Formats: sequence, C-alpha cells, structure tokens
Amino acid sequence: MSQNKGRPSALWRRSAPSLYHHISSFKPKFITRMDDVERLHKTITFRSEIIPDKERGLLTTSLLYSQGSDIYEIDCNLPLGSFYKDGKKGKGERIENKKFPDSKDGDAFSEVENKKLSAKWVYSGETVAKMSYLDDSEDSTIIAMSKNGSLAWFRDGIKVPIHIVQEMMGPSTSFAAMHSHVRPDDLAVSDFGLSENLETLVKSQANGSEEDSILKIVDNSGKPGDILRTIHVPGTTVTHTVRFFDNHLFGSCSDDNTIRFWDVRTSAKPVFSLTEPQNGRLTAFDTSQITNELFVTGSSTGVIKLWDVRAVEFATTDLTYRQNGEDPIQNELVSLYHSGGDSVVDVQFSQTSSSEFFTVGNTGNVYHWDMEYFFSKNDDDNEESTNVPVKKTTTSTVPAPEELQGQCLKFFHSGNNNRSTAKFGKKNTVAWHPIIDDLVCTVDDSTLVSVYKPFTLRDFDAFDE
Amino acid sequence: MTKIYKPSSYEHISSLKPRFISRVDSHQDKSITFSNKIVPDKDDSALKTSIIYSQGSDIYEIDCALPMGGSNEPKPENEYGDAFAAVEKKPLSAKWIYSGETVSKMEYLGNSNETTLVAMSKNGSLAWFKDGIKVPVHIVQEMMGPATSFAAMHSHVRPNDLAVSDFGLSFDSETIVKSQASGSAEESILKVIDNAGKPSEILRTIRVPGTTVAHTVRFFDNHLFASCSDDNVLRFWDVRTADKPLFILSDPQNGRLTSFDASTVTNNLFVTGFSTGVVKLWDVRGVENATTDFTNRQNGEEPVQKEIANFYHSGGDSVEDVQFSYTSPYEVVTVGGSGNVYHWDMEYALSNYDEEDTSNLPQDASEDLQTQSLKFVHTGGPRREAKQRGKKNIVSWHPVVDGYIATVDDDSLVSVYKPFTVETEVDEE
Repeated sequence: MSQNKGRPSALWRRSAPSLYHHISSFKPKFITRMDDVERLHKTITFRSEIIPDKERGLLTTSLLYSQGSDIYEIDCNLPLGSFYKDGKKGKGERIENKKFPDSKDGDAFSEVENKKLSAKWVYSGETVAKMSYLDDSEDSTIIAMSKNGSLAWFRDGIKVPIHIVQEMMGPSTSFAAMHSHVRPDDLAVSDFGLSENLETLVKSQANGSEEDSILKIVDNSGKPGDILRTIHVPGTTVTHTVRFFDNHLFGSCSDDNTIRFWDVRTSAKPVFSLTEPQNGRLTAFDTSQITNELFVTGSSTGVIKLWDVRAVEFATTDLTYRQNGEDPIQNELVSLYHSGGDSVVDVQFSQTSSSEFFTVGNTGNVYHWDMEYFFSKNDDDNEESTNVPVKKTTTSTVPAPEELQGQCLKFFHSGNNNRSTAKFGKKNTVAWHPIIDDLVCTVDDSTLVSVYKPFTLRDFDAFDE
Repeated sequence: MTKIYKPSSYEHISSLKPRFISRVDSHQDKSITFSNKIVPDKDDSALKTSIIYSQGSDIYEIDCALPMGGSNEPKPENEYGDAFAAVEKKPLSAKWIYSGETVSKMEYLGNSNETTLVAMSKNGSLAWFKDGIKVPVHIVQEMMGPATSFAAMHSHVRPNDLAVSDFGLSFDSETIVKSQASGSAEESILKVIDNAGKPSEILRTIRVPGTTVAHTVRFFDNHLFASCSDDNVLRFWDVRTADKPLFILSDPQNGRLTSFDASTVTNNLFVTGFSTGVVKLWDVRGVENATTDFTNRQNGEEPVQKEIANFYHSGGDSVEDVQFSYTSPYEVVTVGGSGNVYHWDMEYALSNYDEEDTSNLPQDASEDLQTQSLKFVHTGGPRREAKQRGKKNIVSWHPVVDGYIATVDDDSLVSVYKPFTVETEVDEE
C-alpha cells in the first residue's frame, strides 16, 4: 500500500481494502438461555459517556444492545491510542499509533467476553426495533420503540419502563392485520425522531388500514409519554422514517416517496414537501444534527442523495422555471450510489462531523461517505445565499459522478465472513458513537457485535506528513 | 389602614424626566422594560445597565447605573439616587422607531439572538428590532385600516377595550404566542409565531370562541402557555397540540380577571389579578390535577380548582398588571389601578403549601398572611393625580439584578428603585 499513498487513483480508493484503526467483535453470552437467537430482532446504539483511562491506555464507553424484548448494556474498552486525537504526545508516538491499520480483531470486549449478560431493561411482550439514548436527561435514560410502534422510557436502575405509549395491537383491533401472516413486516413499520433539545418526540406508525399512516407528537419534557397531537398522513400506508432538523422542524418519509416537512407547532398540514418518484422506493433518510440543514435520502435502487432543506423549501416558492401548478423543481446537492445496486436500508449522519454519513446496504455492508471533497469544490461562491445550492446543481460545477463517488466513498465495512446471502441489512443495526469520531458499532443476525473505527485515506495523508 | 404596610423606604431610588432631541407629545402611551446588559463598574461600585423606554412609536435606550452596595448592610435611603447622572443632561434620540404604531409592550431578547427586541403595537402588530438598525427587521403586521373589519378599533365607541393585545415568549425564546381581538365580537385570536428559524413566520392561528379579547399570554416552559380572556377563563395550551386547550381554569368570582403572570423560575407557579383587587397564587400542577380529580364532584360538574393563597389590594385598588420576579421564585409585583406598585413575597404562603396535600387550600387572605406577604408599596411620588393611572407594561423587573424595578409614569417620569424591606426577624422577637 505504501507505494500508493502518494497519488492514489480513484479506482484504488474504491477498491480500498478495509483497514481498521480498530475493530473488535464478540458474540455475547446470556444468563438466560436464548432459543433461536438468530430470529430475534436486534438493534444497537451507543451511550454517550466516555471514560478515558490513561494508565491502562483505555477509553471506556458502552453499547446498548437489544434482542427481542431485552436490552443489554455492554462495556467496551477501546485502546486509547486509536482514538487520541491531538498531538500532545511526541510526534513519533502519534505516528506509531497511526501505523497499525489493525487487521486482526481487537480486544475491546475482553472484559465482557466471558461474562454472561443479563438484561438491563426488559420491554415485556414487545420486540424492540429502535433505541435512542437520552443524553443528560434527568427523567429517563433511553427511549425504546417496539415493532408495533409502542414506546417505552427506561431509567438506569429500573428494569421495567417508567413511561409507556402503548399502541393497541391485539387481534380484535384494526391492527390485527399486523399479526396476520399476510404481510406483517410490511405493515409493522414504525419510527421516531427526537427534537434537538430532546423535548419533543414524533413517532410514525401504520394505521392498520391502508392509505393512512399516523404521526404522533409526544411530549418528552414536562410529561414524557403524553400524546400531544395525532396527524394523519393521507395517501400513505407506512411512514418509515421521522427525523428532526432542529427543535421544531421535522421531516417524515412515507412509502409514497414523499418527504413531508412539518413544524410541531403548526396545524395538521405539512409546511412543504419533497416528492422523489424516480430511483425506486425511498427507504431511508437522515438529517445532520450539526448543520440543521443537510439531509440524505437512500433508495431501494442504491441511489443516495444529499439535499439542502433550505433549497428544497425555496424551490417550492420559486416559479422561475415553472408555471404555477406545476411541481416544484427540487434538486439534490449531489447524488451517489451503492455499487451493484445494493439497496439502501439505513442512512445515518455522523454526530461529530457535518460532512460524514454512513449508509447500510441490503447486503449488510456499511458504506462510509465524506462529502468534504464535494463541499470544498463548491466553496468558491458565496455560501450565504440560500439559492446557491440550486444554482450549483443546475450548472456544471459538480464534479463528474465517478470522481465524486471515488472521492467521497471513504470506507466500506463488509461485515463478517459468516454472513449468508440472506437479507441482512436492517435499520438500527449500525450506529455512530455520539462523541468519539468515526467510531461505529454494528450487530448482525448471528448476534455478532462489532465496534470499529475505519482507517481511511485521510489517515494515510496524515501519516505522510 | 393601621398596620398593614411596613414603612416604605427605598434601598435605592432614582428618577429621570427624559428630554428628547425632537419635540414629542408626552401624552402618548408608554411602556418600559430593562435590557439584560450589565457591566460591573467596580470603581463606583455600580452596575451599568439600561432601560428600554417606549413613547408612542419611538423606543429609547436609557443608560443607568445601579449601586451595588458592596459589602455594606443595606440601609434605607431617603435621598434620590443618581442612577441617571450620566444621561440627565443629554437629550435622547430614538434608538428604534415603529412608524405609525403605538408601542404597547416590549420584550428584550438580548445579544445572543439574531434580533435584540420584540415590540408589540396597540393593534397587535409585532416588530423585531436589531442593534444598529432603526427600523424593524421583521414585522407581523395586523391589518387595521378603516376598510377592514378591525375598523371597530378606530371608532371612538370603545377603542381601548378592543385594542387589547399581548404576547408571550417561550423560555428558549424560540416561539412567540400573541393574542389579539379579532375585530368582531365573540372571538379572539391567538397566533403562534416562530422566533427561531424564521422569525415572524406565523405558524398557526387559534381561535378562542366565546371571548372578545385575550388580554394576557404567558409561557410556563418551552411549550406550555396560557391565555387569559375576558370570559374570566385561563386556557392552557401546548404549542404542539391541536387547536384545543389542554385544560382550563375558570374563575368567575372576584370580578374581572385582568392579568396573570407565570414564574419563570419555578415553571409551576402563576398569579392572577382581579378588578376587585384580589390577587391569587396558583400551582399549575394543582389546577391540572383538579380537572381529572373526581373525588369531590360528579362527572359533568366543574372541576374544583383551588388557589394556593389569595391576597388583596387594600381599598379595592384594582389589579392592572402582575409580574413575577425573574430572579426569585417568591417575589411578585402587582400594579394597582391607582398606579401603586405592590411588592409581595410568597415565601410565607408557600411554606404552608404542600403540593401533595391540597385539602387546606386555599389560604384565604388573613391579616397574618397579608402582613407576612406584602413587603412594600411604591406610590410613585406626588405628581400623581387621582385619576386612573395603572396600566400594563409600565413596571418591569430587572432580569438579572435582584430586586430592582423600573417604572414610568404618565408624565414620562422614569424611575428605578429597589425597596428596602424589613426582614422578618423583627417579627420573630
């Protein structure tokens, strides 16, 4: 590799071998016997607390891992050297730390490897489909959503939920459709998003009947679990993703390939919307918590698009190139793709960098993107003006797709060897660490939990200096 | 009137009769608030702050220096202080102008925000001002010409009754709710307005049927707010819910409900004032719990909502305005129709209050409660006439410096004062 580091070609980058600053994996063992672990639904996320221990050279953080109705906390000791960012130590030492693109598994889980885990929280009778860690909230520690759209709030030290928003899903309700075996997974799609200040939660769920999905605005400050408002989204069967941009503006992405933008304070009508009928089904979207403006969409055909919400909104009122009555011309900032048409099942913006996000393919692959190259190419005009992104995409300042693809795809995590060809990619099975740069955790169907930090080209450049 | 008031003396009081560069009609409506600027000045042991003062459509910033007292024991001061010494001789020129409107209320947003000040005009329009720009940077204009249905306000039949508007700001300053009369009778309007991403964008309009004016709007946190209407009902809303109040508090006794204010320190306490001079202290949690508590009533009957304690202005001086202190969870000022400013300390009433046990509520106005709670009365000097003076938004707490109050009189006399209150240890002996 060393001979490539001077002038790496785009091709080289795309076929870059997956090198890691660090990677550790383990299969957790449990106190209670688990039957058929492979079939249980699993999700993973990080807690945000980190404890650096210089003496032992360890950085301790913890993972929250759910399996069926049980949620486990798994401690994870990362080698401090791989994560220590600044050059306070001597330069030689820093380079030494950078030098090992670690190809063999690390031992972040050595302490817990042989310990049998017992559930920290249990959401009885439900299957956890998503978890969100509530940073420095006094009331509760995490919010978990079950597959049927119910929500539960958990607090450290109390095994059962302290608040619940229960969706009635018995066989006698209209939700019975979900319990039938006709298309249970298709309808049992739900999601939630939290406002930036964590005070408001919006969750989406199928209505059970066709052609109407439901958004519920739920309080998470004064009275957690209080349902403030219910919004019907007509013409849609499921709304699979809900994300906030700030404390008030949020977007909901439904199966009619439309992202509707709402303000929690307005009445039951979207502020504006974005329809994307091309490129297959929209399957995922995520917003950047750092810029409040960028968002990424992913589609079933493997196409990934980066958007600026200001430009999307501006286009709805801009009648320069269209008649009133025609659809607004909403253009993305840039479009990328998964090679081989690997469909996008999840996308997540980094919580520490405004230019990085990962996408998860249906194959279970995790693609790491860094848009810094794209942003630097577009720096020349004044960024202040809100319509600049629109102009940019209609002119030819965007680099050629191949070049962009090569420059922006930073890393590619192919999961483990023992993956079968079955459908693996799922939502909420990959997560960024909220504080530590570039650290990602994943879980696969065989309960293999991994944490890794990619070793990207940027690190080669740093190594050069 | 024997022993109700403690001796009124001030720890500090300064007054200024502002002079203006341009000739102004001093009979215009005035309102006052503090800015949150404070610059400590160690040499003369004073805090430099400023007062925002509006007169008609003009808004002035008046610098003032509040003595800090240092390590000295606070003592009553009979002389007028010189907080305005620096500006006394200087004619003022308007910092901001809201042309064609009469400013009735101002809210200082501070320097961390995109805009510095929100001002409301008598007809319910809102203007956002920024340091260094004399005209508004954003506006929410209410159409009020003679051709609109609001023309009623311009008629001389009952102009002041209908031209009642107010606004409240959420704690994070990201949302504004304003109230106004709809022009036609039997309906007032609340508008939820963005103050974060797109200031001045109207997010939602809520109609409050059965009311002519909603004279007060206040937030309890970032989302919960209450509007107080002329049907003597406080309606509690969440900016995120649909167009229906979460719960209500109806208080038909004790005359007209004229004002209320929520504590920004506790999130739970609020005070209501009545035209008969009655002042009531409430806990919003108790008010809400009562709406779902059926212990002492049948379903269908009105909920039993009791205040924590009640007080009164002596002589039936009507309550025109109430304001909670920004720095203390206990201190409240009420403004009487006479123009008197009453200072209350709710600590005594709250010490007998247990949120779990509401059986002994309310603590009715007793001589003891009244004496323990009414700390001070500011009568505003000899210039006052007997006619009705008290108004909203002419008295304001300093947002940071404990205990300081700014007031403006009808004759444009601006005062800042800090009351000297006799501590309760005198009574204990």
